[in-house]
Amino acid sequence: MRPCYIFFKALCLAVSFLFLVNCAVTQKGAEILEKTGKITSEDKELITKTSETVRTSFRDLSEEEEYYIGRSVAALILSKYKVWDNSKATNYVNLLTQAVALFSDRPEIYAGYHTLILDTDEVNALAAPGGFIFLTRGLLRLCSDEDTLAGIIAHEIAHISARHGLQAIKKSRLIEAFKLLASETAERFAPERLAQLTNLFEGTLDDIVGQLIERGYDRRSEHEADSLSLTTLQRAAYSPQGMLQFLEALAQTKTKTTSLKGWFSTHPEPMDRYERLKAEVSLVKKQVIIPKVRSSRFQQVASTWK
Amino acid sequence: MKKLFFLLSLICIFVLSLSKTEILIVKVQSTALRPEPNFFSAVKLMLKAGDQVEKLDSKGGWFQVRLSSGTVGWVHSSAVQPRPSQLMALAQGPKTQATMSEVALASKGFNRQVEASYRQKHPEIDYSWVDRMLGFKASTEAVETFLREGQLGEWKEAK
Repeated sequence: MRPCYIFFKALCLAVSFLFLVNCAVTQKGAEILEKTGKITSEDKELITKTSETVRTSFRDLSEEEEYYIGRSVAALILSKYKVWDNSKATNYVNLLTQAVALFSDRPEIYAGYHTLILDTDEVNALAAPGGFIFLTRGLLRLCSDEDTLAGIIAHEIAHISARHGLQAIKKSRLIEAFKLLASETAERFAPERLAQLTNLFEGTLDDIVGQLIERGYDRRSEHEADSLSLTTLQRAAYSPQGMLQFLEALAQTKTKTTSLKGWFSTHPEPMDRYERLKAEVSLVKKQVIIPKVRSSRFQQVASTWK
Repeated sequence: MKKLFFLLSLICIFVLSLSKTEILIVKVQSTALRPEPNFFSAVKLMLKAGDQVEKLDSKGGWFQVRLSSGTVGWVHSSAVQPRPSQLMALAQGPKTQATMSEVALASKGFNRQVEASYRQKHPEIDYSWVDRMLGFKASTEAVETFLREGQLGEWKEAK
């Protein structure tokens, strides 16, 4: 083999690798080269395929994919719970969610953040990828003020922002999906490919819903969400004391009953989280005085979910 | 000879990608271009997924950008993503409108078509509340009033 050829081949590989970092642009570049006649359609397909297979983890899912996964996860959550259709309470929690989101690390998400109240006494909060948040009436009843509820919403936004839900997807499933996508160069999927991809999509949803409802996030993710939510609360000037009081109340509730589902089965021990968060909050020197307007507007809406 | 052309073409693309112009792509469904780096600043115009802008400056989580029309404004960093290769910028210049083809290609993955297929397979799963949920959106004015009255964010010192 001629050294010149080996050099070019090595260079080609290096350049290709650098390009694979950005699949969409690589594909577009290949498309241009094909149009200008520099490469054949076979070469273009090869580049497209290789660039797609570089997607290897949940981090490589696009915002749009995250949104479509989240929509179906939300639909599956709603197949297990009844919605509490109260416009006053729903408007309030959505206003609060959108206000809190502005101070998070990811204020803008594909289709925005939206919150729904579930009509159950279960104490739980769930966050589906893509910005879908669910709060139960049981949880709302445990909140003593707006700052506490803001802390819970900030915690759920943190799970979404850090893409904790997507981390539940089995890696082998993702790899298979990415490979399948790589083999499809048309703008719409062929029926056979679509059926395969739908099965992988279904498995992906099962992975996420299983974690959200049955297994819960691991401790690391929960503690990360607590830390991120504390930062969000500080930026917004909400008091983090509310979140501490909530965890304390939760721990007391747990000691009273062991039959509660939801939060208790999917979250780490509330006292464990309380101790950790308390240590972080103690580093915040400035005390927040909750103005009366916040208390009164919360009490007005809280009367609906009592 | 054909292979040589192929290799040289790849090299050309890489060299072009080293351009200093930084192009950003809108990654959310829609986002506002604002005159100031603030969510409550007036909206100049709306950008949609796939639109491309040229980055000029950054400040506190915001990017100052220029559209192909010359309009300059600010977008939040969470609404855009950098485009590492600048091939398209040099070939076409920054633009504000993505073509249908670009949007379709970028959308390839778990998308509307896959959801439709999943729903066909599972007609028992109801998406009506998910769609209703997406309609729960407070106006910027309502959020601003909520924050101001609650003495939150930039209004935290208000008495």
